[in-house]
Amino acid sequence: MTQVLINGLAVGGIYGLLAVSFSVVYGVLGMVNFAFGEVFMFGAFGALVAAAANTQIAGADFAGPALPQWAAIGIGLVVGAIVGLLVERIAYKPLRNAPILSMLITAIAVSMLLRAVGTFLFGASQSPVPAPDLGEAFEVLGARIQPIDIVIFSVAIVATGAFWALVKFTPIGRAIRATAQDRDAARLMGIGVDKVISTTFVLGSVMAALAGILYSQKYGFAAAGMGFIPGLKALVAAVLGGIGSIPGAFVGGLVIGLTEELAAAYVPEGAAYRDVIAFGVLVLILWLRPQGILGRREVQKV
Amino acid sequence: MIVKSSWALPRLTRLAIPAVLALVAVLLPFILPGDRWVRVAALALIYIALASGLNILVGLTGLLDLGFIAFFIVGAYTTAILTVQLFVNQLGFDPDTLWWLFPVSLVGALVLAGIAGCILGYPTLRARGDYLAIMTLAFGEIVRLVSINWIGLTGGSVGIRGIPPFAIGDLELTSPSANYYVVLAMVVVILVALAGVVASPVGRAWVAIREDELVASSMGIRTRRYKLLAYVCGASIAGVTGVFFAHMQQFINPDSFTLEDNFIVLSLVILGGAGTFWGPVVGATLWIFFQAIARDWTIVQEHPEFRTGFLALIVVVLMIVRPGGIVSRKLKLTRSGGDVERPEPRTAPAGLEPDPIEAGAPVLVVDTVGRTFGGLTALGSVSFEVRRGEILGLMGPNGAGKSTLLNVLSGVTKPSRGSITFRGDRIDGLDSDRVSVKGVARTFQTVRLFWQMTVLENLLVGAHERLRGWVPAFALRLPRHRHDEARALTEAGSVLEFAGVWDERTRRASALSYDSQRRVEIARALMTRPKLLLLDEPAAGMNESETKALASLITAIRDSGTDVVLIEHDMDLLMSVSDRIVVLDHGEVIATGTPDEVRRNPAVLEAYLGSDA
Repeated sequence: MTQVLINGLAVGGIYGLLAVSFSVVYGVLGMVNFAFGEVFMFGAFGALVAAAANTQIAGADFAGPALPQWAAIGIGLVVGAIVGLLVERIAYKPLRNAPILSMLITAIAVSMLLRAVGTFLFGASQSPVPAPDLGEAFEVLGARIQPIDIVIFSVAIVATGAFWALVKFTPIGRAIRATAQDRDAARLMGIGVDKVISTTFVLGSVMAALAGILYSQKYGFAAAGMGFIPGLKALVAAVLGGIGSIPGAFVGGLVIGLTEELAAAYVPEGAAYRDVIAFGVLVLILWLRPQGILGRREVQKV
Repeated sequence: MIVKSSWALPRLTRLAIPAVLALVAVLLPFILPGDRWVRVAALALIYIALASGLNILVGLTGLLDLGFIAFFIVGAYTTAILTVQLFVNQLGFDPDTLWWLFPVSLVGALVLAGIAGCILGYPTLRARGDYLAIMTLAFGEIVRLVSINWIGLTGGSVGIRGIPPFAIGDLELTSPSANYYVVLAMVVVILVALAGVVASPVGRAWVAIREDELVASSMGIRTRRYKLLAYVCGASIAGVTGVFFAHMQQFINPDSFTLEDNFIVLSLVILGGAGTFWGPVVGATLWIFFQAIARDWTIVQEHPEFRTGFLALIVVVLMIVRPGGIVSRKLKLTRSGGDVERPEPRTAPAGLEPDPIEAGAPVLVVDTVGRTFGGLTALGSVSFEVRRGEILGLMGPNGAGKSTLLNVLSGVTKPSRGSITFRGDRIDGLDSDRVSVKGVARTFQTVRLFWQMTVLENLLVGAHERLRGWVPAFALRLPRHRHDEARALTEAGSVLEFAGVWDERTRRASALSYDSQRRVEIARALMTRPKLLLLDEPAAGMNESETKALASLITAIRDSGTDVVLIEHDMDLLMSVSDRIVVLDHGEVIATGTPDEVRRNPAVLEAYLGSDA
């Protein structure tokens, strides 16, 4: 039981980080940036390539810098941030005043495009990721605990907390919140709205890339398609927590992570239907409360 | 009156494109070099059907569905499970004798996919567009995962083999050409039916919802129901297509439907032109043939991901450069262009019985109506009445609660307390589409037309309640509906003449001058045959002569038998046309009376000019 819970918290922490990315960008731009699943993937590969001595990129041999683990993670975060920034500048910026449907379609197309680029660069099959050296599994209350799970959960909590504090207490955070509430009013108050949106994308991308790196360390692989399912689950988490809210998104991630790990462990055939359960939760929520669990109803104005 | 129709000539040109396309489609197997290309053509047909189905949702109704393939999967597995798992494996039938089962499978798939569409569509009644997109994605994954993991029923990742081919009696249609023609027949039926539905009240309701949901419901359209209907229609098309696909392939497994197919079908709709009729057809044909050609290129063989990558790139660029897609021809939402001869202007709301309520008797009774938003009181306790045969002016300074009152009267917002009785029936608490059907129509403070539609199409939306009917009847193009529509068009012509904008009838709403937009909006409201018309600042933004002309139109509306409530900031207009005036301030009625009485009322002067005046 403890084992399952710890595992669920680690998985949930990863979903939570990614959910925060979706949530904060949704808050500012009012759109779901499906491409965060691919930023997640590029982050993982960025760290993997930076840590390796020699790898293959686009089928050609590539002498990696073989950086130490902490530096490689830093590179992964930077790669994710760059990908996120490029996506925002190239694909979304021209659509600032387009209908929401156009933006969503672009978002899904960007996600497919990045996945194809990922497949081209890193191959169609999974690349193994060496496990970080964190010592042996230890026993607590008769359960074997993997140190990586503890690390992942702690990192996720600290990162989300830092991110929340950034948005809550700093001038740039205030600009982000102002833009989220009313873009035009923010612009009139002298806030560089485009800059704020780009910053939000960069910050969100760093969170997504971090989630991707943690995911690849936990499961020992990286692959071009690795971001899709976690991305979808993170979206479920963000909706669960009331999209737009940072703590809500993170808690939503934990709920999804725990639910699916518990289901996999205790429901017959639960492992095979693990994903169905997470998505079933979403369908159920939107059936019962279309505005999300913590969301508020929007009032239409005539 | 002789109904002169302008069908004859346009009808010929209208049928030219489909006729040429049909001829090419029929000859295609003889033109294409070899069976491989005939198979490609058959696959293109499958995608044409899917893209056309998805277009109902994304293009016409403006609902994003990222899990559309789920309905296709439901259809394909329905026939596979019914035919192979049940009749062959369980009941021991010889698969070669099961050709009669095919229609049963079709009906089964239609029903099951329709149910799936309902399940998925239900939350759209209330959920926001982006939540919905996520949900469709999740729903698509659920169906796919179930098809992989429910091994007993679906054969798991192996799938189901031995699905009998298309057959008529003992004659098996297994050659690629035969398959092609069977699927072609399906596509033709789907497209013909779809064209019928698009050019009907149903199609217009879908587009109206996409353009402006609130206005659509104020025209009497039950918007929730039509959104759900869009899901059911799209899902049914995908389900039927799935059945044909399964019998064409003779096997299915989860690899037949990848996650990316959802995206591909969506892209084909966008590529060809979402919301056009031929867009999905063009998009699917171009892409499937392009993909088949590209398969021979070494770079694509080494990197199969380039295919979806390339399609994704096209979509991203397209959304920035040409969001409308390749086909730019706008949808025709009615089959007729209206009468060619200038009609008589409307004299009375057509088809109305003589009004049982005599002049001067109250028709609308507003009794102590209040509305609060959170802690803010927009309307305190408002009571007044509208009498038969009058124009009631509604005035008050900014923030007095006029717009809130109009929204409450038209069902857009519900009153927090009080009652509204219209001709004996309570209408507070009704949705705006029901209020419209009761005979209360409205216009909006800022003009809200369906900008992508022509003027006549806008007016036909106003006639929705009289024209609506059963979807299969529109798909079959029953003559009765064609007649109703022709009559409604004649009525629309005379309403336009009445409103002074008959000359604009074939123009797009977005191309009209401001004055004409206002008049068309009033004409569209009149098409609902209202007994009471609510006008929300109709003269805003008009110059002096336009305002004068508007005044005589408003008077003519009253004289033709429709009572009017007029909100207006232009005092000259309000004072000159109103029979009585109600003055609101801070959410309360402060004065009621004739224009002269109101003008002299000290409370009104104070509200407008302050206490020092």
